[in-house]
Amino acid sequence: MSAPAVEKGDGSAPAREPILSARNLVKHFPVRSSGLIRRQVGDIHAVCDVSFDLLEGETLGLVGESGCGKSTTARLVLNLIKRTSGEVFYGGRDVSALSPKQMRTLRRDLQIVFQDPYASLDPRMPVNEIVAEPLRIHDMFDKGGRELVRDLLRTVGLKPEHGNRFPHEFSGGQRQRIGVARALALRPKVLVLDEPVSALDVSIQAGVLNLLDELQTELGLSYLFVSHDLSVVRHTADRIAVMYLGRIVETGPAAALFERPGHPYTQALISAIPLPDPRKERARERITVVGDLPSPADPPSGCRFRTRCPKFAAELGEGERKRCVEDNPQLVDRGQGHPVACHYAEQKVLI
Amino acid sequence: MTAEDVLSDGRPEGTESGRRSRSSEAVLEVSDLTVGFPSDDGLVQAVRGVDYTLRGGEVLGIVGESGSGKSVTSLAVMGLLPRTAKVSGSVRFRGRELIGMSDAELNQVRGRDISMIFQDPMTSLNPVYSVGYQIAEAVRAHHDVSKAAALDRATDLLDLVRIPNAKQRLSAYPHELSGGMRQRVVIAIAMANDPDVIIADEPTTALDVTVQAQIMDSLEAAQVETGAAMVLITHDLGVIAGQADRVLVMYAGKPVEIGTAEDVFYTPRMPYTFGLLGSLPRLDRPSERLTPIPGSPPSVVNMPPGCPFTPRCPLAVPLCDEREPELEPTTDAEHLAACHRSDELIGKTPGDVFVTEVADAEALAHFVEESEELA
Amino acid sequence: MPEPTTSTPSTGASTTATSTPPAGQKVAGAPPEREFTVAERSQLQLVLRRFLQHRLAVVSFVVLILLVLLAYVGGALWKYKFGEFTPDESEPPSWEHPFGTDSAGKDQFAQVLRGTQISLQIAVLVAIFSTVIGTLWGAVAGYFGGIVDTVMMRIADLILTLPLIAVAAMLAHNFGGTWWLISLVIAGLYWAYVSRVARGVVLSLREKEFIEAAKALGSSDWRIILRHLVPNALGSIIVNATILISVAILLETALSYLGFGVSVPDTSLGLLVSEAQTALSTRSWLFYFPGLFIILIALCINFIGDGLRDALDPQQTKVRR
Repeated sequence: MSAPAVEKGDGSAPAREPILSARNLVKHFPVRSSGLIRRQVGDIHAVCDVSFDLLEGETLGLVGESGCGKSTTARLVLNLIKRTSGEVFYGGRDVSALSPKQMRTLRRDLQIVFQDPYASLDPRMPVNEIVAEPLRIHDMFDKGGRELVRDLLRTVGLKPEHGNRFPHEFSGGQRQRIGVARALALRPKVLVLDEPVSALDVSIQAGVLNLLDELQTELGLSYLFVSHDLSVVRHTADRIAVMYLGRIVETGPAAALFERPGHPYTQALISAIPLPDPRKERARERITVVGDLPSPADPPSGCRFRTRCPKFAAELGEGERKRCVEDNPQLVDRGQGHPVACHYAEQKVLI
Repeated sequence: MTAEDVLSDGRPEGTESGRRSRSSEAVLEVSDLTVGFPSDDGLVQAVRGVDYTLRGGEVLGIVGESGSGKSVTSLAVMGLLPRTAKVSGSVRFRGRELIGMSDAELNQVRGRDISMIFQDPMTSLNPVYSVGYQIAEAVRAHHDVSKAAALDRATDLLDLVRIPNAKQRLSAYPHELSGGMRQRVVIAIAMANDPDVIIADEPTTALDVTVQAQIMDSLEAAQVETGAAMVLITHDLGVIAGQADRVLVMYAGKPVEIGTAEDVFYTPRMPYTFGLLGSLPRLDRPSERLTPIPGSPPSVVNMPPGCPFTPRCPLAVPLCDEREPELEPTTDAEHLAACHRSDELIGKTPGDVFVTEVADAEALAHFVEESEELA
Repeated sequence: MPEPTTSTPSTGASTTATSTPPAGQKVAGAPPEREFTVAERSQLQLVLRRFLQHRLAVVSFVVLILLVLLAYVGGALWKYKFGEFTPDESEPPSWEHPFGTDSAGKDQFAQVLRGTQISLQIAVLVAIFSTVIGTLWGAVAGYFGGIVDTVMMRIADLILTLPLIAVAAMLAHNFGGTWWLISLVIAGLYWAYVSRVARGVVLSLREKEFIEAAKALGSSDWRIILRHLVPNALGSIIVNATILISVAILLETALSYLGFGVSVPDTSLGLLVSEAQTALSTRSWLFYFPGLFIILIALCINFIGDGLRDALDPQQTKVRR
């Protein structure tokens, strides 16, 4: 998946047309009081002013820890939940402004693979039916759908003879392959992969990653790859956007971002991932964050990372901290070669 | 938030970091441990003969995928399996046999000599008591001290596991703490009685990576403080690489390779270990093709004879189907592997052993054709 | 719309590279056998297996089948037809009349068999009607939520607050008489119970990823409800339907006993009990035999429901490695 064409280390305008764009996406979930009359008492700021472009044929990795809003972003892109504000453009049209009928047609182009292979397949349907379902929904099954399902199952590495079995008879990796087959049935152009391998054992995970990689090349797919696992994203993504508490804090080409991270959070994230290499792992520099994620219902003012930021705590003076508290840092290039949302961004080499 | 809260330190170089006092004396000896669970389909052989020796102060990492029996092994060591489980073999703590001990006798060992940290801290903490009370109770269970003294000790312990404002936290209830915080309380309880062995079963699996790093720090602090030996069970090879002195790889209820961390990571001698290492996407390298292990782990019910890895092994020969290989010393007496063809793996890389799976090109081409006709 | 041209340059190269895998390479389409780590059993087999382990439920099932056979086949073969007058009046049970006869000379065995038929028919019809209506009602309310849910469930709640027997009696009195009208009346009041159960199940299913997957594929709401939600809720609903059968039998009995149910010349178990109450002290067989049948049927169905509930329990359905 290391398509050389997308390397654009200078942060200039994308060389290729974006196939999917998100502009200033915002999603607030209402927090309601308990009791008979459930008044709205606040908002969970799940996604806050998120913008990105997904280029044709590339993989954009959306990484962050739980609660950072990455999965919500993925669902907003697919219009599976209603946005609070912002736009998602696909093929020049705002996705969330489409009529239900137009949206149905669009669903053929935008598909999703879910995280949990035990929950994402209907337990009462045989595998053949699960994979045929998208074709039936779009009235395409009668024109040779049966053959297509067989070939699709073979493509993802399953035996078509097993098509009349039920999901619970398959292992996690095989179920995830069924999920991929279902998503591919309509020949989408964009695939949103929401933690597609997080629930799988490593030896199984590699097979699914390779499959996704190959399908991308062969079918010309664009991937929005959502994951908490930096190693996996490093492996699959051409470009990466790091999210923290609903905001993108750093974005750039995969190699550049891992070699020269500029945001303290990205740095902490990278240094927290243990390397499966005893000598390297024990010799690494560590940047540890303290404390826990603040409540997304009441995010910190200014820079949302400041409450856990090692730089804020140890390196900055009183005057400099004031800026972090008051000013939300914009996501712009501050001399790192890619956009970083930190007033005091500074590159570090951690691997 | 103060500057002291921020821990940003470089680690000592090399594996023999010298941060732990280590003796060669064995504290825990497990030999030929087997565990079976009766089921509708027959006996589930969750553990099929595990042998290992834990020396004072060392960290033994146990890796394996789900269903490999790594957790059941430690539950058997602690005597925490349900009554229906059939356990045989021997587990000796400083020479005393633990298998067959009564619950009352085991309670004297558990918590004082051997303590355990589970994946989900909520299962080991009681939601209706404050954390201070729970730590103090753990101290008083094995030591005859006053309540006030036990609470003082609790404060020290919370400090040790790097919980900020330890004194105020004593009165907090588990649900008021975050997942990472709770796990640190569990670590504090585990070290309350200065145990000789700490068994940590997937201590960071449910947590985010930045929190995981914090917990590993606390765990290290706990180990240095108590001088305990540790069994660290995890599926994360990165955690093992960072923490373990020796590594035991489990597959289908049996150890298939054991050796120092460097031996296992740099010169593995069992195809399964190769497969695991080749399957890992790496942060420190530009992306390259992964070499997954084909197939799925076997069912441990009614296992056929022969090596359980045979169906997934690219090196399998007829012998592998006939006889299960024993765990035997390789070129190094401390590095053991269970593979008939272990010697042929010297100098190989995962890419040499495993082939990259490719999608069925013919099916893919058909699919592309058909889908274009449909659309 | 931009053409997916990016794939074409690479496709040519990589298909030739992959179409003939080298000898050593394993094609993903042919993984080694033994790949199924989970024993090969369909959901139905699993349920059946667990049901068979529930001894009381199995016995009840056999008894119920025998009762049904007795009512229909036995009723047809028995030498006396239902409603037929014999010369023997008020006879106690004998070989000639196993359940005795009433004061008009009707063979009580034939009467009880006919009553059983009618009672069972009513029960089954009630179960079918109220399950279908209740399931759809509850599923729609649960799936759409919000104002739809509030309005639909308040209507259901309203029906639940009605004094069942009184309303049923009134309705049956105005429309009643025949067995299927009685069924409709009872079903019209009972579907609300089913809808509550169905809504509860759907509420939890709605959050599952496979429902989200269906939405992402562009399924219409009705398709999601009928193809995904209802089949998955069926387990709990079937259990409820079985219990509903026994409730319906008892309700029909009560109605007929009060004189608002099935009316003469036809008969039902409830009506038989009602007719016999005056004769309890003198000709107790007239009362005990239909009563015994009611208890037997209700008990059997309750035990079967128990067995089904255990067999369909999701806690046990979790089949993992």
